Amino acid sequence: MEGDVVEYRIDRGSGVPAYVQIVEQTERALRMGTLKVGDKLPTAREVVAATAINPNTVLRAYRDMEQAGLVELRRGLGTFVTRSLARPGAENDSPLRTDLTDWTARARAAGLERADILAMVTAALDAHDKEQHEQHQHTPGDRERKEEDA
Amino acid sequence: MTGPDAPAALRATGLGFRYRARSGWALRDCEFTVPSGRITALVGRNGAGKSTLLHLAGGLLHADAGEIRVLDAVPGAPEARARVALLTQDKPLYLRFTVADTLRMGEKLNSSWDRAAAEQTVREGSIPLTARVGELSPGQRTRVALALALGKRPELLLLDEPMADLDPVARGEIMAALMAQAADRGMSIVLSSHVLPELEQTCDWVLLLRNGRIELSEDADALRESHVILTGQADQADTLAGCHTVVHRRTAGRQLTALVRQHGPLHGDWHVERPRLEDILVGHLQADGADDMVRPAPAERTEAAA
Amino acid sequence: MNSSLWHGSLWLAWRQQRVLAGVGAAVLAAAAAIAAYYRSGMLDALRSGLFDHCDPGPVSCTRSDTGVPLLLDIQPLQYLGALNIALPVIIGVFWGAPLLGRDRELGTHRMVLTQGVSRGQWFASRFALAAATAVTLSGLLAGVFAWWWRPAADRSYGLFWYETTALSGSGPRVVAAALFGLAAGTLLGLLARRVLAAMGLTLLVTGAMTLVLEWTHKTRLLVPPHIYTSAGSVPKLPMGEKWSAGHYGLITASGRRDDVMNCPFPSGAQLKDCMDRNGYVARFYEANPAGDYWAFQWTDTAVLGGLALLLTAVTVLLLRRRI
Repeated sequence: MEGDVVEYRIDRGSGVPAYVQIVEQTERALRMGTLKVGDKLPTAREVVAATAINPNTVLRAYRDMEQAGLVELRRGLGTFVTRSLARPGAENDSPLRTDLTDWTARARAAGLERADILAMVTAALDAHDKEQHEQHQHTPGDRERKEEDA
Repeated sequence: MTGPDAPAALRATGLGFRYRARSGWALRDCEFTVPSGRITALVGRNGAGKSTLLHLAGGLLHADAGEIRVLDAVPGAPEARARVALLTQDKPLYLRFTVADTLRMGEKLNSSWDRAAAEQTVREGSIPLTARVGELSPGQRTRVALALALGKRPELLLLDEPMADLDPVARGEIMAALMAQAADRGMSIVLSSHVLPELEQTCDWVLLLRNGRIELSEDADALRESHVILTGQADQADTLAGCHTVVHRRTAGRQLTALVRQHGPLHGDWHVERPRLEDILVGHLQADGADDMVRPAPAERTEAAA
Repeated sequence: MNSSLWHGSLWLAWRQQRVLAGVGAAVLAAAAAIAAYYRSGMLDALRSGLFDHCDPGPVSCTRSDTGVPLLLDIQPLQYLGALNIALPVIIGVFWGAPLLGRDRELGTHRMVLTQGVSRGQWFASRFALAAATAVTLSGLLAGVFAWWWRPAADRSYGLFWYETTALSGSGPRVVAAALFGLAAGTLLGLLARRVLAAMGLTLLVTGAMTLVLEWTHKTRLLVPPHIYTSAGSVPKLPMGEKWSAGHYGLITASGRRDDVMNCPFPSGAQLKDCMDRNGYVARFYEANPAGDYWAFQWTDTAVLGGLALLLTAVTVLLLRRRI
């Protein structure tokens, strides 16, 4: 397989570190199925030549993904995808997907706006997750509000 | 990219330099170490001493106090000349030489020469080898100068404002060419620039000069992690004093915005934002004064930490 | 030191100086061609027998039939002598001043010095090449002058050794002067901020030095004249090939020398009377014999060569500070 299966696009103004952007974009490609097990990721030089970012950043992103078990570094050959993130349940023709399509149609028929539907899904997800583990861990995002005050 | 026992790319101890015996110090008491394999941003305002520092490292100037070492060698010594390349801001080239002549000169003036790398750098800019240097655009000239620097296969590449007078497309191309070379060889790069966004995703080490002194010499990610931008009521500024370092702050009415170097948990009621590298660098460049203590918030609209 | 780097810095020096070297070679070729042409004309004139009756010495020789003074066409030879005298100025201004000054003004020395060569190699190779070319050019021009001059040397119809174009435009001093011009221009190129300023300063300095040396010739400052005496009122020794210092006079029994105007008479009774009346026992004049050509040559060579060495040493010492 050639190494041109993904192309990274680095947003310099976002404040998100470039290695995080590479990891996120790789994961997205894995979820969407554009990257498959056995695919070779572009070399650090190829990424760097296309994006003009620091090569250490690319290496760090690849190292992080290797530690997460997503890719494997084969010395002298390159970096290869070892695990897919595409879930069987998320495919287009899966029963879950069909259920959701039906449910969305009903919600629309009931007159719900797009934002209402999204809010419902988020709320349901939140409630479910909260049930799963009472001890909620806060992941530091880009922006966090510690307390409200006028 | 380089082993942990590799020599420091750049190390200064008590480094001082002045252009004339009786004039002020252009650089003073500089003490820092840049590890090898890093891509270092050398930032500072005009006249802060960036070019002076690079010229000292390149062996074009000689320290008046203390010492500077490049890859553990004395700048200008034969072993340093073979391993360190410096591209000065004016990118001087012989205008009447053709590009081929210029590369040939590089081949003849260096004990080792990578003709393929030099020619590739020129070719990527689609510059004909037969063109005279004087007829090239500034961007193409920078590329030829860069080819001359890369042809000697340096372990440390020093670049003084390499992107000045280049259009955005040329900037991107040249930066990409540089990063590709760094990826190929594990070369250390120190580059000075005023264009901070350009450094955002390229540099992983920061050297910040202010008034001839080194203000920061630190890993870029460590800097991002240790700094926060706080917004909140101006009257709670006292909660920052003592435990945190306020790099720069601005008061507008009752609201205070501050770039803070965090040492431990924050107290008080603050809206916290993660700054970009650019915000951190600008904050440090704007700050004037060595005292990091916070004064009780005065009424002025804009003010830097005293 | 890495020998390939010496080779490289010499290559660069040649690459930058080849135009100047070419101009020098063209000037030399032109001078040689002109010399060959006029010299053969001169030899033809001498072989014609027209000059056979002429005596050696400064008294001009005339045609026996018409009384017209007999002279060889030595004007072009004097032009070559003048060129040789101006050589240090020309070399200093056009070769010395830009040697380091051009790179300093354009900043290109920074590009060269950040390659593999050291400051010392950079300077030594370009200065050595310029010096070698200057020595070759000036030596050959002086040689061409000597070759052309020889048949007409020290003849009333030719060129005497002490005439400016011959004394200063020939011999080893031409080579030393060329090196002096180069060294002066190089140092000034290192000191001045702009090449044009360096060229102007070099013009002044080398021009002044040339004039100063001419002045030392005229005043015999470095090579004092001999005193030729003739007892009583007998005719003085003929001046011949000697270079008169312009001092004539009378000597008393006690050895005091007085001005010739005390007895301004040619040899004869009047002179004898006057000398007897004033107690003069001999007459004298001051002049440099023909052999002093080499004394002048070697003193000039020593002065100019010494200055060239001194200026080069200063350049080397300042190199680290100024570049």
